[in-house]
Amino acid sequence: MRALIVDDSAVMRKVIERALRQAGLDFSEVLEASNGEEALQVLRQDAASPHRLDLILCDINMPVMDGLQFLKQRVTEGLASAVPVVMITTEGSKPLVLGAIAAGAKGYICKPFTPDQVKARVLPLLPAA
Amino acid sequence: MNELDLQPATSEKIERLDSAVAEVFELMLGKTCLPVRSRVDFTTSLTVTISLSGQIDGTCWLCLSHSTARAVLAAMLGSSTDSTEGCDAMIEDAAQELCNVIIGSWKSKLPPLQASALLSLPVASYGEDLVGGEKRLYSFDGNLLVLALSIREGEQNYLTTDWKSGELNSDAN
Repeated sequence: MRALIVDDSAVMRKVIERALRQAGLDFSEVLEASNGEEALQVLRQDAASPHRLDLILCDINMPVMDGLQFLKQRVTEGLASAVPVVMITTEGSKPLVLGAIAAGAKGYICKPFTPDQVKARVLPLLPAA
Repeated sequence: MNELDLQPATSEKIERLDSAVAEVFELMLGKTCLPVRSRVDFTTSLTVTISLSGQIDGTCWLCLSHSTARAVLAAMLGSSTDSTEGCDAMIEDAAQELCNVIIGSWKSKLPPLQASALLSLPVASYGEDLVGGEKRLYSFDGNLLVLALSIREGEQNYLTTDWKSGELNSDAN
């Protein structure tokens, strides 16, 4: 399985990747992006890959392009439209979360999180083993 | 170097802050982090600032030494402190993210209207005494860090950490 982690904090991207491993979720490749614009570039370049992404984990509050803008632009460009997106964010405010769901996110995880919380949110969205 | 003379917490709002700090350290760093209620010497080398805007607005500051920031990074990554030597960008990043998650967790414990306030991106700066207002001190594994909040709700002072009097400067509940 392949995943894309989008967060402006390089440390948080490593924390999320570590949580996925601790949750027993086996991703053979984890791509990274530091904002929504970079994430779109990754998706455009990855469009030709024979193995599609299985999961996108995305922060909301990022510079250049935030998570909500990324979700909307992803739909506009038809990029990785079948790939589930889960928001991982400190911004647990209801309007932002509802906005993300309305823009196509399949769920959200609030920071701080445990590996079990990540697994509970992510596992149902992944391809069956 | 500043000497901090701290008084016990008396308010639900500060208890929320203590709870947020404890929760973040336990879940993200696997550490126990508790308030320090005694006179200590403290030196800041790195300050992270986050602003809030909306129903409540103001500023949160996180102050810590470089060695404490290294310990934070090591704990976040599940690695040794030695392995963080020379990783200044990541060390700063870890401190920014710690402040971000703590204030986000604190905000999430507020009533829905106040919790809807938005957070700015964290900004790191170097030096001492860059923080406004009074400070609250915490400790994990012998490492010290300081948090300070100055929050207003409309015309009212929602929360200012002020420990010299042992009282919170707050006109709201």
